[in-house]
Amino acid sequence: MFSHLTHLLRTLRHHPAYSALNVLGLALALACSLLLYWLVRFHESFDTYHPQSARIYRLVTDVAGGSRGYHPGIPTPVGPALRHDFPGLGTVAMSIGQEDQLVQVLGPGRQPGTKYAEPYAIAFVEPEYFAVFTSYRWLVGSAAQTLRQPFSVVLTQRLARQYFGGANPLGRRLRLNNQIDLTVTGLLADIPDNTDQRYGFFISYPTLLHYGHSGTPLTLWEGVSSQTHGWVRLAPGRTPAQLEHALLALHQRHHPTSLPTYRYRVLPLLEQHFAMDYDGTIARSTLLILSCIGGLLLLTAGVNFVNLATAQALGRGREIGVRRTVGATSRGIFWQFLAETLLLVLLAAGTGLVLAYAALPGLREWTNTPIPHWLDGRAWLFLAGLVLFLTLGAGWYPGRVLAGFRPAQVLKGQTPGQAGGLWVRRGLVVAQLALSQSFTLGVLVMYQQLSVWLDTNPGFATSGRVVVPTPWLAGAAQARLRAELAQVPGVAGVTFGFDSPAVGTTNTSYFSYDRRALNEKFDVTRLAIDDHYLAVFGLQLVAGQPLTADSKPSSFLLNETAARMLGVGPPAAVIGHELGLNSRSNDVAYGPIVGVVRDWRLQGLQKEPLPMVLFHNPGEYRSITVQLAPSATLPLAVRTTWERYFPRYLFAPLRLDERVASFYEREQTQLAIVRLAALTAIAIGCLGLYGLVAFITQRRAREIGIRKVMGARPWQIMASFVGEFAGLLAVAFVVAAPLTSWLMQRWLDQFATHISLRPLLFGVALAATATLTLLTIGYRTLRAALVPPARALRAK
Amino acid sequence: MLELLNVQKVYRPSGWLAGGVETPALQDVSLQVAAGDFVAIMGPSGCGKSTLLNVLGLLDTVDGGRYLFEGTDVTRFSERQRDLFRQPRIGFVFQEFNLIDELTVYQNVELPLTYARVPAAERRQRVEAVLERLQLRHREQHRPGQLSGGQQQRAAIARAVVSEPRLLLADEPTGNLDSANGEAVMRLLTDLNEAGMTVVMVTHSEPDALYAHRTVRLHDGQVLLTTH
Repeated sequence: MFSHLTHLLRTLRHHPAYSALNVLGLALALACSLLLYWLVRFHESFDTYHPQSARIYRLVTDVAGGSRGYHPGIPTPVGPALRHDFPGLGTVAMSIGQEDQLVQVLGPGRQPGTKYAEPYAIAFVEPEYFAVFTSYRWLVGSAAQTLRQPFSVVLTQRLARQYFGGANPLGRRLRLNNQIDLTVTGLLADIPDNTDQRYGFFISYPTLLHYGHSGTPLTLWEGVSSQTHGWVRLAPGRTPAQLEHALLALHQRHHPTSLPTYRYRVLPLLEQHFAMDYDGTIARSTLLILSCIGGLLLLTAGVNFVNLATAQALGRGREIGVRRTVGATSRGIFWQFLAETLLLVLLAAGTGLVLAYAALPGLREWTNTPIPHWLDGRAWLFLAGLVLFLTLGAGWYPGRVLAGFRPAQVLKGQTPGQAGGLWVRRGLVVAQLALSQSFTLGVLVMYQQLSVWLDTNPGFATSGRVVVPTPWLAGAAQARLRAELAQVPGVAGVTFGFDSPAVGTTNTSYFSYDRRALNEKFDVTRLAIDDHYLAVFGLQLVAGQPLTADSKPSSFLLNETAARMLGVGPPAAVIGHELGLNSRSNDVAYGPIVGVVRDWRLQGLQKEPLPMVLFHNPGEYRSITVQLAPSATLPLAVRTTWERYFPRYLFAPLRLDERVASFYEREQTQLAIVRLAALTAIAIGCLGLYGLVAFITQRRAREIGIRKVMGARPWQIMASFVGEFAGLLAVAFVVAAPLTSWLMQRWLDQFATHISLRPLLFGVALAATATLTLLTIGYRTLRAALVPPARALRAK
Repeated sequence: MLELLNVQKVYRPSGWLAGGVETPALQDVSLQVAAGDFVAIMGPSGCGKSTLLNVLGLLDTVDGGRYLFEGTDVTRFSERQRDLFRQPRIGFVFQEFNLIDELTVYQNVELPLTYARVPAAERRQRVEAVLERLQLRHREQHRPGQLSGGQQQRAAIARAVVSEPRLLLADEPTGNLDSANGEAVMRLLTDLNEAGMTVVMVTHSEPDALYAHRTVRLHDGQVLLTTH
């Protein structure tokens, strides 16, 4: 080994460029693979840390008939009913998450202190939640003691530190959304990042009765809220099939009328992260693609190595010949080369590790994911596997080539066995070029798709609309606030509503049409609006009238999807018919349908529009949207006016165009990863091409000299090189184009609205890789072509 | 036909390590070669024979003096001018044959005509004629590696003469050949010369030099003697 090491060091010194190209290519691929490994492993690890996590299940709802077949939530009464009716099945718990809440720290004597916006940390939970998830570590208190009483809250250490600094949080008070005061009764250790239950602010379940929360009411069977989750930890010996069966029995017993519409389903905890139908985070197929990308990068680095090593091997003929004449065996030469390769790969692995660490903060930011840098046994095993794979994969063929040299031949100065090798090397170059083209094409398609989405009108006006989450306000005060805001210079319109048309949390309700059935077979997404809403957001009526101040109370607008799903003909056919909408308090409001609104994409163009119903209800308004005059910025007076009405709340305006852009965050992240992979693949490919062309020109120097003596002009010499690489590029394209277009079509097909794969995209990808190839090989070939023939002929 | 007047050629080693030590390769060389002449250049290793041949063949430039080729002063020609000037006028034969391994004998011989943009039909005719003349027709589809040394040198000569240059430059054409093959090559050069081609040949071999009309002896870059 020691002699190999000294030999390697000598090689590194004598061929610094070759070694650098080789090590750098391998290191880039290893770094990328390691980053992807961390990313994939992070996602795979979600919620696996809970003890017996395989026995934990989430209850979800499949909705019959509707365009949206799946709902991530469950009607609120299901959990308690399951616990009561099937006590032996396991532990059951409900949690109701609350998004975008305002928390205010109270001092002694309830003195108001600092305010904090909590986007997702807050949940109302039953004490049983901590019996389902037993991984929580109680620093103070226990679930049984602390979460039975209303107005009590348990915090994680992180939140306790955020609110109270180093002071003892127990017994301190927090005010929630200016409505209720909570007392801290327990303290939990911080939770890991790899969980989808990111709650750290647990409010006792009985508090729900005193709080205007955003979930469905506790007794409502006919509505589902996306943040209302049911959890079951199965008792030993119980199966998920038994749980499904129990859910069906319970459904029949408690609420048979919703049987045709709802079906309660069981989702394993370990699947929820990947269950895209139920608001999961990342599809398993995406992880598979990421793993494949890592594999492909390693492959291209391996190919690169083989390419450079075989090219260089030809220059080592004399060395091998001398070694063989002094007693080295063919097998010995092979193992010597493999040892050299191993050392190079190890060097690359070290470099790659450093690169990966350096790039991790960037990847965390790009993917908006707190990827940890695991270097535990498994990660080392992974790295060791990669090193072994690369050593064997990359060292085998060149080793065989070197070992196959016949000493007599190489010592005479004849170039050994190159005809076969040339074809292998051409094949490898084609593979590399094909990979580069595939990645380039992938990036182009994804980029094009994203820009089309971002440029396409989602069906409502976004630019210059600023949404301000706003607490409930009594009717008269609402009118005054609107009037005051409308008078602020630079404000072109003001509207109240439950949310903007880009709805975050959707609430659905049962409804009836013309009383033709108790409930229709699908439920609708409800959106409370005022009579300025359509105008401010540029929503268009396709039939009937808008809602006005004069409309009858309980007048309704449907969107096109809802009207179509009713199946009564063209949109106008529903006008004047009666609609019955279940209200949040579980009684039904009846009224006429006065108009039908053109569909818009409330959750981005990847998704189909949902059936919606729009109606007046000041009690459900949770936001004000200010329409700014063209090219105006949000005037300060809007803020001061708002704060005068809500002195205890946070003014947190949101630009609607930014919110719409955030719908494409996941795709942006995917693009970022694929772009990183593409850059790496292309960089490695270029390194390989450069190295290869350097060796070829060096090896062919004499031939170039002969050709020049025979009358070849420099451009003819260059053209012969460029022609050869152009041929390889074309073959690579023929391989890459159909494969990539198949793959990208699959990617596109998951979206409701997507671009088509136009030939232009392929042309651009080909032109880009061709240009890059030309630039890479251009310098070396030009230099080779310009060498005076007398000097070239002297080259041996 | 060729006229060298006080030609100087100095090698400056390139690279920062060389430090500027210059090696004179040709000093004050004056030489005249008439059309139809057959000149042998002799001298010990490193005396500048090959340099002189490269200069004559416009493969290399001079650092002083003048070079007239058929009355044209080619001393200050640019590389491009030299390439264009050389191609139809000068053929080369080397000690190492310098055939391209990847091409067949036929393709090797065809090469100069391809670069000279001779039409395909004419190319075929001329290549076949020259291969016939050098008795290589039966080997035309072989690659150089499959030929004997003598056959390879005949192929190289075929390639040198296929474009019918007026000047043939040969650098130790028999250096890599046994005596029988060497003699055959020398007879071939003599035939070509008798057919009107001017031949300048660098050689180490006294017997080979006897085929030439006269011998120029070089020592340390200087012409010592010209014998007839």
